[in-house]
Amino acid sequence: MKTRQAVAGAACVLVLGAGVLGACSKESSTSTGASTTGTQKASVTVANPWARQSAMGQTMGAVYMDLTASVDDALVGASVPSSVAGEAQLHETTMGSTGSSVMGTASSIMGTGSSVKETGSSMKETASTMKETASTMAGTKSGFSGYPTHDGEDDGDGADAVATGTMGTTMGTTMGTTMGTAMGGEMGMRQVSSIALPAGTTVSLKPGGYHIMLIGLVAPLTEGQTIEVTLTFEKAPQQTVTATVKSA
Amino acid sequence: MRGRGGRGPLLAGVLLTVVSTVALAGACGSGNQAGTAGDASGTGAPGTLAGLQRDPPLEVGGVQLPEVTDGADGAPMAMRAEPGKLLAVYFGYTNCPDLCPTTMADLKVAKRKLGAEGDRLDVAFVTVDPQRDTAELLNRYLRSFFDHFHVLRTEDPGALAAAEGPFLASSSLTPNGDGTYEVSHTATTAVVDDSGTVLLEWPFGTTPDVMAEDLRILLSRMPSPATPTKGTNR
Repeated sequence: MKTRQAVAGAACVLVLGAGVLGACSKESSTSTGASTTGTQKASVTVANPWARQSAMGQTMGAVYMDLTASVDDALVGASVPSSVAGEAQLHETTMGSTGSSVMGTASSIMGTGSSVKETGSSMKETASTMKETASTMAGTKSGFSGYPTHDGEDDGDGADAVATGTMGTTMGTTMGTTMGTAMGGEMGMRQVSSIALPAGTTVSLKPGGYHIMLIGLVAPLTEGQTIEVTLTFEKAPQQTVTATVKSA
Repeated sequence: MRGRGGRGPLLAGVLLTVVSTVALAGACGSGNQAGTAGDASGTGAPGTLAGLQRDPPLEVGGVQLPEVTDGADGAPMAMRAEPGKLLAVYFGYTNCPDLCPTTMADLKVAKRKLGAEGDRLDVAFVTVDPQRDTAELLNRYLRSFFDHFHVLRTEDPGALAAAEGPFLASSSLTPNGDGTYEVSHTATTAVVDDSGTVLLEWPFGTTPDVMAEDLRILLSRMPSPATPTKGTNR
């Protein structure tokens, strides 16, 4: 931890990357064993807890934060005072039926070290493919109502939150399919029973990915307000963090 | 990229991650709005649009939905910008805790970044959940983000689907079995010009910086409303 600042900076970036992966595709759990640090005491470091200012009339809110566990762990619950919201649940925003395919392409983009500019041109090149895919998706919208990531409950196993990815089989997915998913596909939400926290990996709860959903806001969340959020982990002791409400 | 194990080769890890994050933000649309904005706009060539462009572009000017913005009284509104302006169209719902407020806030920030030019972007919000989203609720919701906006609402699922179609968007409501239901929806923002052509689309997670830069480019290509070319606009 001597390079704390540097690590923090890196973690910040890593969080974004990891969060993006998580958001797109439910990061695979295949790697979680490797970084286990043995007999360390279970603890979870929480950074940057925040919530977005709610709009008038908005009855749902979301709290975001970065979590880093010392040993393989899982966030299994969260609560907020009843003065803030009726209930808090762990949720994940998911892509539609083919959401997991994003992972495959994401990996291949990373592998080539592509920049935004290059990605942009790739997007243009595959525009026609994408359109077809998107059209198909638009045409089969009723089929989306039953897509598997949208049906609610996990079975409670702590590892499940990230174990559902089928990355191995989707690695070869084409850009066209992925772009179709990204652009034309629906995004939804599902409640998850836990969010896996592999040892040493910063897991980001962030817009478009995991979040702690506040159901039934008692009053609008206003900028500068703070919310006490109590987090329950599988192994680490329960802790309460203070999330700040931000305007954007 | 895995999130794990990045501490050893720190710099390399960071660089790789920045690259992958940026690429992902463009590719899958789930990038965070927080930190990568500068990176994204910084690495893109000046004058290059980051949003998705289709060839041929989508034409949505024929889509009409009842506008329930205060004072509009349900008059049909076509999906095209006012002359010299751009219209950002988003399909969402007010009970949306994550995607919709994130996108609306990002649009708000992007408009602000443009200064006075930001007024040349209007926002149209189409509810995909008319059952819960009353006109009054929608107006209150949008007013939290914008001074000027368009709220579109139909209770006819067929009309909503017909409106989504040309955008290649869709939405669905899935009952939870306890009387509640989940809403899923296309979370892409379409930027439409005054002829009803979709100039580009921003996947969810496009940063306000990227949006603002795209808008700057698009607006610079259009005659400003101060020098109207009425004849050429419909």
